[in-house]
Amino acid sequence: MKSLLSVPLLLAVVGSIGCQKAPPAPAPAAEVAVATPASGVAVALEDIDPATLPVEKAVLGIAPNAAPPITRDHPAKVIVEVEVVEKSMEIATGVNYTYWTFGGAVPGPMIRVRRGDVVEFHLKNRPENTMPHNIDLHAVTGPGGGAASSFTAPGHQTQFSFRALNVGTFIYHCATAPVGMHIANGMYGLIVVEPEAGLAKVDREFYVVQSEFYTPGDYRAAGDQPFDMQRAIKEDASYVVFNGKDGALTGDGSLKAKVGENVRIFVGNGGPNLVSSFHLIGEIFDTVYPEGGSVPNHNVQTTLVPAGGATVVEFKLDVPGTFVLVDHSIFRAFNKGALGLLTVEGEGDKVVYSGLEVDEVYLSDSSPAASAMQKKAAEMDDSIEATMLRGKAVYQGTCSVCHMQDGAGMAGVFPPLAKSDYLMADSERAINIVLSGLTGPIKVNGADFNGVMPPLTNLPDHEIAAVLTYVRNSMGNKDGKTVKAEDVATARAAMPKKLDSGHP
Amino acid sequence: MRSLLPLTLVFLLGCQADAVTPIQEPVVAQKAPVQVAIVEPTTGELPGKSIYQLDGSWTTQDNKPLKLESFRGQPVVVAMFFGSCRTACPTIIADMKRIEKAASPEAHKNTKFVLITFDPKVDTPDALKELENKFKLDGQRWTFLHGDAGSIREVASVLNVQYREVSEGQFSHTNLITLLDPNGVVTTKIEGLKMPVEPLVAALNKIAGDS
Amino acid sequence: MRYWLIIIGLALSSSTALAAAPERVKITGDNYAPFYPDKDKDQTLVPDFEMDTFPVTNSSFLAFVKTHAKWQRGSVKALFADESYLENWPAADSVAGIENQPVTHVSWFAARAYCSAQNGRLPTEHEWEFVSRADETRVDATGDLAFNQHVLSFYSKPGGGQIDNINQTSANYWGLHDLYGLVWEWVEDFNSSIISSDNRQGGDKQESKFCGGAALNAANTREYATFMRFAFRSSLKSSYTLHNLGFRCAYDLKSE
Repeated sequence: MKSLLSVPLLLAVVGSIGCQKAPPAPAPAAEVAVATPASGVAVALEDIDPATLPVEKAVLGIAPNAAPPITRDHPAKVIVEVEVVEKSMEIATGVNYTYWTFGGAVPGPMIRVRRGDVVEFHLKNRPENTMPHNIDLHAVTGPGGGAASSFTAPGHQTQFSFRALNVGTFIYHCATAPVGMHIANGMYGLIVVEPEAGLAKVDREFYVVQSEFYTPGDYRAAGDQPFDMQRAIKEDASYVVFNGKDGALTGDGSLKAKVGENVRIFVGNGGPNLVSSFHLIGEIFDTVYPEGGSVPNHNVQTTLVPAGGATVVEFKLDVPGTFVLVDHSIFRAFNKGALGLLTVEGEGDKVVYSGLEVDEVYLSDSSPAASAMQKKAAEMDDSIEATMLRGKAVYQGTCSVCHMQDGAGMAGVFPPLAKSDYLMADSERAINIVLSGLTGPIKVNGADFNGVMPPLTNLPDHEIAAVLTYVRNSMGNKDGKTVKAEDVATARAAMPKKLDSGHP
Repeated sequence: MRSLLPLTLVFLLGCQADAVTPIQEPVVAQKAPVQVAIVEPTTGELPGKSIYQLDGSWTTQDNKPLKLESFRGQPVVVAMFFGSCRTACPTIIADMKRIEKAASPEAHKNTKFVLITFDPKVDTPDALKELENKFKLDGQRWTFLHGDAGSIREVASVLNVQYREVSEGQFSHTNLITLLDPNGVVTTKIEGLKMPVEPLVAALNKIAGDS
Repeated sequence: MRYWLIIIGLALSSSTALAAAPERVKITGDNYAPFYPDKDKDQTLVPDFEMDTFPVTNSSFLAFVKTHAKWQRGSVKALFADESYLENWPAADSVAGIENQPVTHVSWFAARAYCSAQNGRLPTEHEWEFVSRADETRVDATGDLAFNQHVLSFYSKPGGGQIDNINQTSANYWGLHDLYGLVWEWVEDFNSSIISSDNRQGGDKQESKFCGGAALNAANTREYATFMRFAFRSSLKSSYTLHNLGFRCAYDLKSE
């Protein structure tokens, strides 16, 4: 066996996390058996010599794409190769973080095998990396989940093998000391072990992993942000995100599907600390496999995903529109980034979903520290390009929920901002609408709308200026000027006093 | 008593319970093919990976000076230990005796069994001689080695043995039994105590037959 | 000594601060509480010793291999260094352009041989950890969260770029430079980072791998930076040569 340099403490810590996947009871006899293609006779797993298995290389899934389903009707030896890459990437627009990754992205690649497969795992630690790393796959039965056998110095590679004994959806993560930091820096992903008969066929599958990041600066505070040990220990996350960064699943990264399709999302939670209240606004999960296990639950609104755990959700799309993935521990969604979009196209009933619930919560206090940092960032560069970039971030976090990613709005309810005569006619009016909200009928581009926009007084002046600069210079609009924070301040000062209290 | 790091303790116990799974995956893995040793000539320059290139000076339980290279020409089963250890180390010696017993007649005749102490202060050559007697070991076949701290650190590093003096005269260390081919190149090893010795014995018999 | 003259000569051309610093400094030892304390006591005595002010540079190491052919790239045996030994040098006998960078891609054996040639040795883990606790003004700054975060941020920098020349950081309390921020450093007992759970707690399988009763537990698990060093060291083998792993030497004091 390959564990040449075992590190006891690592073993211990690793083992701790690896434990949670252990089955409470031996599987019933029927489940231990595997049908072989040749004879059709059930053969117990332990009687299958790995050396006789056909060998194949795993096809990995790069988030948000799931790895393809297993179509084999027999076990195989599956070669999985994963390279550890330490690199600086944007965690939010204008914010850099040094990630430690499996495969160069967060989450790491999704691995998919079949029960009974023997997985030959190769872990490669790039020569230019600073740290040793390893991997604990919760799908492994064995001490440390593979961690001790995969402990790898920079510029080296290791190999170990395991048999996938238990069906389910499992987290994997780095378990090198200090474990929390290796996870906090992005080292996790999912491994799915399909039952022999495979999973039910669906039209579309996605791969989403929630996790949180701890930095000295608050959410979206600009610049290079290192890992903050103190905040990690206090579980005071600056970011709670899907797929490794703020906005990974919004804008161009939005998940896309069509009306009528059955969708499955493999949802992981890398942690390192927080349990997710995973929810899809406007949908009800027809089926959930809680904690990634085998017993389905049905008709679920919000499902818990433990740190270091997973869940599988399945639902049929009946209506078109934009559905919002959130951690329904809701401040994380709107103040820390735990928000993603599923855009559904196609014919269907024009149903309005509960977007306004989302708006209210977003109006809660944004952190003063974050505002200060944002303000500082804002002062650094007041070019129209930089202002638009900051405005885009505000737009995607706040406005796109109703006005849609592309500014098209929704017929009759949410007026369009794209190519909008109403928006472009009067910038001062636009400022006042953001500050005071707008209720009642208006006409935009010749169409009638009658909805409610709540006041957004809690957005600081420079953010309102930035987002208006953005919408007035994109989506087919061309103003050519920035909206000034001072003008927002003037308008705010002129507001009737009672409105200033705004929403809580 | 020092407060213990809960991470390392509490969960580990849980893990070990879980480790009792119905299907013993590692058994299959242990069918590792016997490494067919392509033994190079045992004269001339040593192979690049030979641990006999280590230049440390050692003293045996019979107070004879020794260089590791003097073991060249026959297979060697080697482990590191310390004499004051009452738990793991007697077990390591027992494991090595099991190897000695299970070896083919050819291997039995030619193989050297070497024990290197972590603790040169306590395990003097005389003390090592006492151990030889206590464990009823054949001094022709069994060699205890006493060396300086630097030589011990070197040989441990190439055998991938980690060790640390955790208090006066007490060492924490990995338990490894390593088989060296006649040129001092690591062939296979057993990690842990009371493990099956068959894979190592098979490799040993193969080498002994070849050499 | 000859080698030091070479270093100083090179240093003069690039950095006057370098030339001004002594090549080695005396460390006044003391009892200290190690990250992994001994089983029966909290404090371990680190005796007085001397230590190189800077990590050993490529130019110093070149001077060494020129007179010790066994350690030249291409000559070194596999037992003593793996295939990436000194691979960042433009040629086996040239360090052009990287003279004042810390030497990396060196194995533990090579580092030891170098120090031995200077009548020194590699520092022990205790010695390295003892001096690395100092900031600019304090012998032990590890109680200061800001210090820990500062060190941690060094370790969090992505690797892969060009390694800077030595003398990037100001001297710590002892007069040592670059303990953090440039490269990891070999210690003599790198393979002592054996950190076990307490086997006395039950019949766990680890007992078969590590000598019974030998438990080590971290004194302060919040010292993440120290934690990382131990993890790093324990991933090494003596023949490994890494792009970000160098060393500096220590010296016993002449007996008085």
